[in-house]
Amino acid sequence: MSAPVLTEQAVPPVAPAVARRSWFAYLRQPSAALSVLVLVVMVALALLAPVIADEPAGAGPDVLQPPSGAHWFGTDDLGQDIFAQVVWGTRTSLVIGLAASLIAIVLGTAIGLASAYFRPIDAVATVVTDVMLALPTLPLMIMLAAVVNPSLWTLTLIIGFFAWPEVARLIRSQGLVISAMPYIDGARVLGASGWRIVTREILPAVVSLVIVSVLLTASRAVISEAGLSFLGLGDPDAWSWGRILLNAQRSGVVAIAWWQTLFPSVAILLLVLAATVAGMRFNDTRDPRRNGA
Amino acid sequence: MRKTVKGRWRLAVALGVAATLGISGCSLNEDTGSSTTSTDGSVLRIGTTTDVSNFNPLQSLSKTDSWILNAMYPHLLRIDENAKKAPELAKEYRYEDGGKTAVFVLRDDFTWTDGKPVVADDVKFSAEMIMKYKLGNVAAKLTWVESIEAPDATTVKFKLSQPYAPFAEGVGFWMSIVPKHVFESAGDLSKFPNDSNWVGAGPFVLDSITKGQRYVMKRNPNYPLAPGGKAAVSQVEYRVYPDVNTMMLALRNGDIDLMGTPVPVSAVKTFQADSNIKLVKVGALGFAHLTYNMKNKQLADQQVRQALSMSVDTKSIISSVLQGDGQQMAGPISPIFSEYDNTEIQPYPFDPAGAKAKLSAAGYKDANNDGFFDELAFGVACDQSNANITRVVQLFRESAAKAGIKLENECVERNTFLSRTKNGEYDIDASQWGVFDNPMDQLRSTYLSSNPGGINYNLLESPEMDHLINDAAATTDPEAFKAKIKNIDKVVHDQAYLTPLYVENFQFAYNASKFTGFVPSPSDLLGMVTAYSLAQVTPAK
Amino acid sequence: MARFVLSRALKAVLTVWIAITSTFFLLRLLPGDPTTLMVEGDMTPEMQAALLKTYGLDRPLWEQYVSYLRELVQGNLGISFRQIQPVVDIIVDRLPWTLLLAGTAFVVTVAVGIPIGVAAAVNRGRWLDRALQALGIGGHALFVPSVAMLLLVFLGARLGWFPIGGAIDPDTRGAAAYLSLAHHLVLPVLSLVLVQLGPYALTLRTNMIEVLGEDYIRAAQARGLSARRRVWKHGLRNAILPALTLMGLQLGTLVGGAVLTETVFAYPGVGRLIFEAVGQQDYPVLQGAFIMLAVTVVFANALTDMFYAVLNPRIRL
Repeated sequence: MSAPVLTEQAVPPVAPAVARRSWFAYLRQPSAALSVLVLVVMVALALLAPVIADEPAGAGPDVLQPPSGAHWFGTDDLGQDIFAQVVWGTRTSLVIGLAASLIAIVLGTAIGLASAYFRPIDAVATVVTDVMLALPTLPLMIMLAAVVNPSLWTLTLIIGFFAWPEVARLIRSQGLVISAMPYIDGARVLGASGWRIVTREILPAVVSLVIVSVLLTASRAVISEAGLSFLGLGDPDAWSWGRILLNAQRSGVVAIAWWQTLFPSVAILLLVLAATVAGMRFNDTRDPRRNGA
Repeated sequence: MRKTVKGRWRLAVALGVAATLGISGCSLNEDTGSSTTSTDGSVLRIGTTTDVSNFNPLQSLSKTDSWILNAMYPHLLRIDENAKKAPELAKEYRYEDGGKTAVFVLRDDFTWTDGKPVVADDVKFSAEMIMKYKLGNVAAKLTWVESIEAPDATTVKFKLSQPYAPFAEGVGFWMSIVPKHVFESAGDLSKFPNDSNWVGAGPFVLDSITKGQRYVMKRNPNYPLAPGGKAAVSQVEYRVYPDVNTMMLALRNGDIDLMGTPVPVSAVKTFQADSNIKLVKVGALGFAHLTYNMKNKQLADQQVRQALSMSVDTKSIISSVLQGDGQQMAGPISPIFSEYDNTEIQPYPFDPAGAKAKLSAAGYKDANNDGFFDELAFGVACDQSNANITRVVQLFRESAAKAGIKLENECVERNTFLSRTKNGEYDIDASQWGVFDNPMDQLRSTYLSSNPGGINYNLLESPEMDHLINDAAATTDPEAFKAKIKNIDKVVHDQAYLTPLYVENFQFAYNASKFTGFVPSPSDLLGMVTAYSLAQVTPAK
Repeated sequence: MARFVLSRALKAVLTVWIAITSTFFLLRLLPGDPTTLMVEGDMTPEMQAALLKTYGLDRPLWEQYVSYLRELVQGNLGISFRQIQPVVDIIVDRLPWTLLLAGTAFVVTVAVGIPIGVAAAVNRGRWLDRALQALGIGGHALFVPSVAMLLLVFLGARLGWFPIGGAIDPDTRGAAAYLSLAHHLVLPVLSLVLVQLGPYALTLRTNMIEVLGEDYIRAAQARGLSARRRVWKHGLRNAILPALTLMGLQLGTLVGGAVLTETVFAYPGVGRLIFEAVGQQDYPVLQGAFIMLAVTVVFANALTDMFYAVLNPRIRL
């Protein structure tokens, strides 16, 4: 649902040896440390949700109250506590974000690597990837989501399915560079099968790029999920930030209950921002040429 | 051109400019039809949520379409503030021949905007076309019609194959009358779009449209139901706002004068600060309900249905979801039909503990001790786009758990929901009846085993109910008729075939400093924008 | 040149064909059929069967597909189920608005993104760069409906600077009409641009940094060319090429994102049409709208590919 933050140009292939020393250098950058911290807090919120706030349920007496001591984020038109809704929504967003991202990564990496190494697969895969990238995805997702029973799983599958082409493209360009390196030729001469080369030699070389992709794809998946929930196509049982916005819009209180729109939006912003920055900083440490850039 | 880099840039720029100009080639505001904004009178601007999807009044099924179409094409009868049928094109109606002939006597002063008078032949034509091409939702109401006669310009006779008491009211209210001399040249009416050159006999007639934005209706100079022979407002404009939040902002901003769509309950506060905006409250002609699929083994047990009826806290639902703006119901007949509502029956009390006891007494067990009766697990289906019902299902789930009944929330997207209801793929159906214009049609459609209306969501096949309903349908004596309806009301309540949840109120907002004189009718299908109401509106002083 | 054009054209046709076929079959998988929505009360099974026959939905799937393709080639997108109007008419009424919205957002993104990207690249490492990067990444993380609602409430309602929804004031003519059009465009375009700007500027920045590090730029510096000329004339010209392909991708996103914006701002475009048509199971409209969108995006992509080829001296035409 949003344009890629990183494209092939911004994520140039890097020789594998550099990647290993990265972790400390990575966390020493303040923006990276901060983002990771935010991510950790979000994960904690998601895991500890039942402890932090009661699952939003029932109807309370305080309807449409602005933020106060009793309700930090105010209440909605049923009197439910919005803070609790946002906390429980963290679970859904993280789960879908991660799971969809993993699906996209697995598919995208497999196809990207296969395209990089095997010419015939490349021919077919490039066409498929280009086609999928060319079509506007949100309308397609809308149609798909309307066909199936909305649930966490179907949403995850749909979002993941539309996210793999970008990953494949990235991995493919990195894979192409690695494939051209002399040591790959060496392995081939030594009799290693194509499959072995791909899994044993090329894959480890792209691991750090995969990690970057996971973070970026996850952040996009969170936005996609929020969008589908906002359009009413999400799981009706799961709390989701998009759903809070949908409730505000459906009840017609957007103009008078700013807190119902603001806090979930901020939550989306924080999560996506943290994931993106973490990913980009990791990408920077991968490639020393980019340092300071 | 030389193939220098500079030359390439120039070529690129040229291509770009050409593309941009090409796209913006559409000239603006050319098709907003006739003349000008200046009219010799006032313009009432009304907000609506969607475009008109079908301009053919015999065929259109959309609520928002009907706002515009009913202002153009008259009906024989209308529904007034008290949910009773009142005359519109028809002065009166009666039955002859033991109830097998319904006779309408028309007014003689309605005129089409092309000058021709509205006559009985127009009514005959409209009904016959509906029957021939099976149009809209009126076709089913005409199934017993054997023939139609128009002996003179103001009399129409429908000859039925059997007596049916509510025939006249149902057909009178729902059927639009179209001009025969205009529509008959269109041939197959199921393919007739009617999207230009409108000829109507209502207080306003469409003049021009800008798709997705605006529908301009000009005043009909001859409308007998308006004081003074024509509406005081010279022009009505419908403006499209798909999002109700935007529509409310537009009303506050003065971009529109009336919201055709009701104000969502929680948003009423939006207008508190604005002294110009007034709110009008009306009742509903439908109601929200939980209906139990009788094909489900456990739901076929009356004890289970009654226990479920005791597990939903309708009072609390009304106070929270509707913020107090609704009424409880006991049986399937809504209190708005005051003559037919059986006031002796009471809604089931909210008593989860009592429900649990009832179920235990009936023999249901909780062998694995998880707090839920083992066999009692049901899915509750609903339309996700209905905000209130979605909340209700949430609350119902929680309260039913206290009675030991496990419910799954199966609220899905609208067309999936409608398809499931058609195919009976649900245990409990939580939804909202839109408009019932009379209780007899309602009962026939919802409880007859032959399912003539397609909305027997209970999938009920009960010879006893069939007998009661068909007997009432053939009763022509008004008092006996009422008594029979009330009795059926009681039977359904005792059997708990459904649990009625509430009858809600609708609130409409308008700018009282600019217009006044609206005559609201119940339901959001009618509301403030019926033909009659629009004809009574005058600019405020 | 011919080969280039041919291969691009073939690819475009293939993409569109896949779009058509996938939506066709996907829609037929939707549960129920359009007649379920005509159920406001009374519909007998016979009526339903008659309706299905009218819409041709009772024929086997393959037959429907073939006949659809045949009509399509003749330029006939069918008749809407709900509106008894040719689909082409419905879409043609609304497509220009979406194109206008997406196109304007696109142009603004590029026009603002380039200077931002260049400024960030040139000032690499300094606070300006960091600030612009932060804004860019932050913008990308925004959720379009939130931004749209926020803008509408504050700039539209509270401050009254911009109209509340709609595309144009229908009573204006000529120059005033164009002005009204622009006035109504501001908020919707702004919500789209704020979100798209970030990635675009960042990509440009990265490309610029890479290009500015190249030898020929250093050579230009040695020759005494001013920083300005180096950056704008030599650097940008080469950095912009890869960014062109990004533009193509963005179009698809913009057009999709228009669904959300069009809803909040009551903008009468195709994005919103798709969402409504899904709810009404109006297959012909859905397919037609989606095909139009796909064709537009594919066409725009092809155009940018052409630009790329024209501008890049290394590609032989």
